[in-house]
Amino acid sequence: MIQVKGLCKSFDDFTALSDLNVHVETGSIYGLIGVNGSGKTTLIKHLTGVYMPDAGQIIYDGEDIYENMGVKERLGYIPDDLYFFNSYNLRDMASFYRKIYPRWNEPRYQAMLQEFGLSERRKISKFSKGMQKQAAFILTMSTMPDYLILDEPIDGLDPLIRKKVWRYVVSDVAERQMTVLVSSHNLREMEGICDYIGILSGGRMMIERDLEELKTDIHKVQIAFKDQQDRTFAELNILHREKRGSVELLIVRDSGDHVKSVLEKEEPAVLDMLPLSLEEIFIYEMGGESSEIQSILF
Amino acid sequence: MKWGVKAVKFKAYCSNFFSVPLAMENMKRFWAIGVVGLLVYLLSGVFPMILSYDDIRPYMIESMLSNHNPGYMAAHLFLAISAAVAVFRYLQNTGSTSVMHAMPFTRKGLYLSSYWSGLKLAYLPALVNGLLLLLLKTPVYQTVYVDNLPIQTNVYTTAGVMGWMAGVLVIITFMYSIAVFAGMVTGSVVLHALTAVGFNFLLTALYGTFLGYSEIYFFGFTYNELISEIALKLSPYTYVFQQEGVIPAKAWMGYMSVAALIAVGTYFIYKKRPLEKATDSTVFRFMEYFISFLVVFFGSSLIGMIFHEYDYGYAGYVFGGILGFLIGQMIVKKTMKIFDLENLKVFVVFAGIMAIIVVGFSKDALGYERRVPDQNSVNTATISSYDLTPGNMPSTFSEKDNVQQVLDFHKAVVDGRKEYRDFQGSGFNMTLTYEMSSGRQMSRRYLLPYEAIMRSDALRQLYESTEAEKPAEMLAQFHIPDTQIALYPAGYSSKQPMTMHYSDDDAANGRKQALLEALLLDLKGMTFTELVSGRAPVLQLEILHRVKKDDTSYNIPEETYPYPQEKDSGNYRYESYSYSITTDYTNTLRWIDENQLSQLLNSADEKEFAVISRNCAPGKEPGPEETYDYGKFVSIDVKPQSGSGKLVLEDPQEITMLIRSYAYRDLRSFDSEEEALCLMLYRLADYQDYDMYETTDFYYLNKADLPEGILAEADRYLSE
Repeated sequence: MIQVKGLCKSFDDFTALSDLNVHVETGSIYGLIGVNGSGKTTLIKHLTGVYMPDAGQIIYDGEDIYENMGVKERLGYIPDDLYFFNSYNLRDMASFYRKIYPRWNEPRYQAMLQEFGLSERRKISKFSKGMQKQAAFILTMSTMPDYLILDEPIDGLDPLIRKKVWRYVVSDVAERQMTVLVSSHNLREMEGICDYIGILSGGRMMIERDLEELKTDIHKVQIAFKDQQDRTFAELNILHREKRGSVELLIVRDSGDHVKSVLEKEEPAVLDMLPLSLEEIFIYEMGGESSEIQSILF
Repeated sequence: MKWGVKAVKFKAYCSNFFSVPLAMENMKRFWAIGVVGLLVYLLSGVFPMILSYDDIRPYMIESMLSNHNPGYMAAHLFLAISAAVAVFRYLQNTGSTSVMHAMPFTRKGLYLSSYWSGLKLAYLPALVNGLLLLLLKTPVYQTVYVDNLPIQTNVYTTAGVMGWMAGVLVIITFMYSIAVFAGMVTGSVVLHALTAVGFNFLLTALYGTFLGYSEIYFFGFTYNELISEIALKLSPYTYVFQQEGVIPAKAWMGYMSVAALIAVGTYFIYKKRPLEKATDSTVFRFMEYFISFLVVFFGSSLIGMIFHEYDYGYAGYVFGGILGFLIGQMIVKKTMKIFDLENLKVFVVFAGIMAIIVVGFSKDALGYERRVPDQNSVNTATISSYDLTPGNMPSTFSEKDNVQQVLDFHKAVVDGRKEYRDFQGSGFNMTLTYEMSSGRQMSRRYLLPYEAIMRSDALRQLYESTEAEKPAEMLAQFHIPDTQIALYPAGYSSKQPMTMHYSDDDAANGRKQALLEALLLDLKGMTFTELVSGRAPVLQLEILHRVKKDDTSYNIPEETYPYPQEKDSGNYRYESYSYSITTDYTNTLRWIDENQLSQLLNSADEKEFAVISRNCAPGKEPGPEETYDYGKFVSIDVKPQSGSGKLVLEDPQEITMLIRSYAYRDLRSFDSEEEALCLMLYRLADYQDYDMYETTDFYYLNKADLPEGILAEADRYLSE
C-alpha cells in the first residue's frame, strides 16, 4: 500500500502541493488525473523519492521512501522525460540495471525483448520516442517491481504496443499484487485499466474513489415531459442541467434507485438513465465545461 | 545470525554509502576523458623524451617533474574539471535527476560513488604517466660548475617521479573537489563548467584584484615576498610555480585536508540540494546573488582600473558595475528580461557594496597608508634604497634609538603623503621593511623627492650611527681567495675592466685585501651628506664573493642581505656587490693611485669635446642644436662653437677635472634649478655616415662650485 500523508511542497513562492493525501491499495491500479499544473508530476517525484517533501510523508507498506534503498529496489518508475546513459544501448542499460536491482528477472527481460522486437545493440538515443518508452518499460518491468509509478506511460505508443504494455501491468497486478500508480491525460485508456481514480486540482486531492463506485454514483439522465412545466427536482444532487428542445439533460450525483424513483414520480414521457464516461465525470466534477477542463480531454 | 545473512546485511548497509556498479559504470561511460588527459601528458612529456632518448635534455625532465610543463598544467586542469562535470552531469538535467534519484541509491551513495569515480578518472592518466616515467627512467645529468670543474647531478630519479605523482594527486584532488562543489550549487552544465574553473581561481583572482586596488590607491604599497607567496599558495595548482615546483609534505597535507573539507561540505550541500532546480543556473538562491555579485565585482574592478589609468576617476567602476550586473543577471536568470523592480533593488545593494569597496580603498578606510608601527612591536627596521645603500647592501637597524629614527622618518613621509603621493620626477626609491615581534613583516615602498631625504634629520642621525656601518663591515669578513674584484670607469669607456680573480696567490690576495680595507674605511667614514650628495662616480667597483654552502663560519645572516644573493649554483652561493666610487672615497682612490690604476677613473680619454649649457633641468632642452632626451643617444654633425648659450671645452685636462671633481648625476644638491649647468661629453661616432659626433655622458655642474676660470667663461657665453 502506498500512502501519502499531508504532503506539502512549495517552489519559491508557488505552492505546488498542499496537505495532499493519497491512498493506493496493494494490488490495485490507481489513476492520477488532473489539469496541467495541478501537481501530478510533483506528486510522482515525491512518490519516487526524488523530491524532499516540505512536510508530510510518503509511506510504502510502512516505510518512508525518501533515501530508502530497500523500497527503491522494489520500485519501478517510468518518467515522461526518459533518461538513459549517453551512447548506451539496451544491452548496456540492462547490464547496469542487473547490477543495481537485486530482483532483476533475466528470462522476463529476454522474453520482453523478443516480444517488443527491440534491438539490444542499437544505441537507445537512436530509437524513436515510442521505442525509448518501450525500452524503459522492458527495463523497469524486468526489475520485478512491487510498486510501479508511470508518468504518461502510453504517450507515443501505438495501439498494439499499448495493449502489450497494459497486459504486462495487469498481469503483474493480478499475479504478484503489484501496486500501480499511473498518471495520464488519456482518460479513456485510464477508464479501462484503473481501479481507483484520484483527481488532483491546484495541489489538492479533489476526489479519490473506486472508479466503479464513482461511475455508479453519477448519472446522465435524459428526460422529457408532456407539459412545459418547470420542475426543480429539489430532492436530487444535480451537478449539471441543460435543455435541448423538449428533452432535458441532467447530470445527477445520487444512487441510481433514488434518482429513478424521484424522476418517475413526475411521470415523464421519456426517461433514459445513461452511464457516464470518466471524461464526463471529470468534466462535471471539476465544475463544468470550462476550456481549462476541456483542454485535458482528447 | 548466520554469517551469510550477516554478509548480505553488511553489503546492503555498505551500498547505502557506495555503489560499486555506479562507480564502475562512470569509469566505463567517461573513459574518453582519461584517454584525452593521458594523451596530453604523453605528447607533452614521454613522447618527446622517447624521441630524444639518447640525449635527453635536463630541462625537459626538470620542467616535467616540477610541473612547469605547460602541457602537464593544461592536463591537470582539463582532467579535474571535465571529470567533475561529467560524473555529476546527471544533476543538471530534469530527466536524469529524476531517474538517478528514483533508482536504488541514497544521495550519500550517489555522491560518494560519483565523487570517487570522477577522482579516479582524473588521476588515473597521471598515474599511468608517472609509471611510464618510472619505466623509462635513465640517468639524465645536469652539469654544474664548482671551482670551474663540472659536477654532474642526475635530475631523473625515482624520488623525483614519485614526488611528481604525489604533487599531481594533490593538485587534481584539490581542483576536482572545488569543481564538484561548483556542480552542486549550479543547475546547468555550462554554468557548472564555468564555475568549476572560476571557483578554482576565485581566491587568486580576488586576492589579485584587491592587490590591484592597493597598488592604485595605497601610498606606500609594495609587493613583497610574502604577498607573492600567499598568492601562489592559494592553490596547489599555482604553488608549483614556486622555485622547484615541489609541494612539501606539510603543504601537501594542508591542501589534502582542505580538499577533504570541501568534499565533506559538498556532501551536506547535496543532501539539501533542491532537485527540482535542475536546469536553472543556480539551485540555491544565495548562489544566484553570489555569482551575480562576482560578475559585478570583477567587471567593475577591471574596467574601473583601466579607466583609472586614463584619469577617468570613478566612471569606469560605474560603467563596469552596470555592465557586470546586466551580464551577471542574464547568466543567473537565463533570460534577457531582467529589468524589474526586484532586480533594481538587487542592483542598489550591489552598487552599495561596490561603493564601499572602491571608496574604502581610495579613502584608505582601514588606515593602511597611515600605519606606522609602534617601536615596541618592531624587532628590526631595514631601509633599502639604491642611494642609501652602497654596495646594494640594505641597512638593517635593531637598536632602539635607530628603530625610532626609522619610525620618525616613516611618520614624516606618512604625514607628507598628500604632497608625495603623485610625485613622479627623479627622486629616491625606498623600501622600508619591518620585522615585527609577532613574526610578521610589514613593508612600504615610496618614491620621494630628494628634499624629503636630504633634509631628514632622522635619516642623518640614522646613517651616521655606528649601526649604519654594519653592512660595510661585512667586507672585512670576506674570504679573500674567494673574492673577485673588477674595476672600470663609471662613465663611457671602451677600456676592459681590471679584474682581480679568485686566487690563492698571496700577493694578489694582499692587493684585494688592501683595496677592501680602503673601501671599508671610506664607507665607515662617510657622512650622510656625502652619502646622498648625488656626486657623479668616477669608478665602478664590483665584488663577486662566493661562499661554500656548508660554510658555517661565514656568519652573515642571509636574510639581512636579500638582494645580492644569486641563485644557487653547485656547491657555492654567489653574492655580488656594486660600488659607485666618487671623489669622497679618498682611501679607495688612494689605493687606485698607488696601484697605478688611475687610467680607470673617468676622464676625457676617448672624448673629443664637452659642452656646458643651461636649461638642463629634466624635460628641458639643453641646447639649440641637439635635443637631449634622457635615455636617447644624441648625435651632432658639426662640432659646436662657444657662444649662444653654450661653452665648448676641448682641453682634456679641463674636462677630466670637471667630471672627476665637479660633476653631479642629478639635481639633488642644488638649491635651485637655475644654479645647474649641463655638461655633455662627445666622442667621434663609430659610424659617421649620419653624424660625426655622439654623446657619451651627461652630468650636472653646480655653478657656485666651478673654478674661477671656467666660471668666467661660462658667464661670458652662457649669458648670451
